[in-house]
Amino acid sequence: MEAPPPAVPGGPTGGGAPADPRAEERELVRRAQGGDERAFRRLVEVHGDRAYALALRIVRSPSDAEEVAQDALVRAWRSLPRFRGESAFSSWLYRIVVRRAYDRAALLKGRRSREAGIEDPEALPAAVAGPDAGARELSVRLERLVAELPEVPRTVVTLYYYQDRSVAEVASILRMPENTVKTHLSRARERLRTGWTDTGGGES
Amino acid sequence: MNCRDVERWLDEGCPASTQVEAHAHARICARCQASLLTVDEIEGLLEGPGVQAPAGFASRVMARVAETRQAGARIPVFELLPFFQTVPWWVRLAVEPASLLAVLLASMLIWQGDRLFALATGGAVQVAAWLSQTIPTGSAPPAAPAAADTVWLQPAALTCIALGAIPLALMGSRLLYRWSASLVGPRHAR
Repeated sequence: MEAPPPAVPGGPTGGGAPADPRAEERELVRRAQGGDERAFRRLVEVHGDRAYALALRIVRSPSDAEEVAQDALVRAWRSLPRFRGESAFSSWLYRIVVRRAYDRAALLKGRRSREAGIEDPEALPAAVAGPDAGARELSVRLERLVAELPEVPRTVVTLYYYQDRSVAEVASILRMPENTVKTHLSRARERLRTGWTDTGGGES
Repeated sequence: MNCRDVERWLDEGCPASTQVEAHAHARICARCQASLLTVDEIEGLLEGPGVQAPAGFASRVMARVAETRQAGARIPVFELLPFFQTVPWWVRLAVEPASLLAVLLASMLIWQGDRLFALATGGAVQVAAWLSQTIPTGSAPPAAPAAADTVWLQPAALTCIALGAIPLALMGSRLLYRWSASLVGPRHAR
């Protein structure tokens, strides 16, 4: 993501002691609700990467992921006046991302089934991160295993691990009971662990 | 704990409540020890550095945001005028449709208030008379038409009614304005 612009004058990032991040986010949301595009840009800079990563792990195509993340952020902007702050802004945003990504994934499913092979390894998220070749290879292997998970467990794993959400937050974002989230997590861990061992563990 | 319990413990996300027992078993079981290391390795990778959005992502989002109105946002009809941004706030407020309607109503009340209220009262009296004839009230005689010079036309009452009408006019014109805004186009109506 590009370098952030200068801090918003008079805003929470405008100098002085570092404020509570949650209070800062609430203030940014409040200002964005009033139509302040600079405050919303700050929110995009804070949450854009994660929104994109979440979309990428669901739709598994960088171009579609960017479109999904952009759509979700624009939709969030449009609906922001109706956001009551009952959940964290990020949870609300991720819910929009997940919904739009599922729609896009359903659209892509038919197209992919007609195409030969799976995704380009370079399109996998881990290919973007990590300069070390060994670590990068491990990451790609794990991404392949994650990508092989069914859609819902894959989303649960993404939110829980990659997005660092609690079980309760994942349940809230995906609108499912916490026990269902735990079951998906448990099954996903089992599949990942088995797959990791079957493909040679971390010996590569 | 046995191997099966350790596997279940790992799949449940290594809850802290049974951590000691699981590790105790793993110390004497090479297979479970390997499973523990595998999970550590996987979780370390899963929690590693995150994916970054492509370069220019935020700018592209903001370009789309600039073209998108927020839900419930007002149409900047007057903002289309190039000089409008430079005029003081009270001028902008004064040329609001709601303000104009309120001023028009207030002016009419002050200028021709007597006639307006006489007209309204006369109409109300006629309706009351018609109702009293249509709906028989037993032995009670029909209500006599009220004189034009009723309490409603007293200056104090007129002032109160005028003051009360202003917020109603403001609300009414706002609703009218929003409804007309929704007709302008889907981009604004969303």
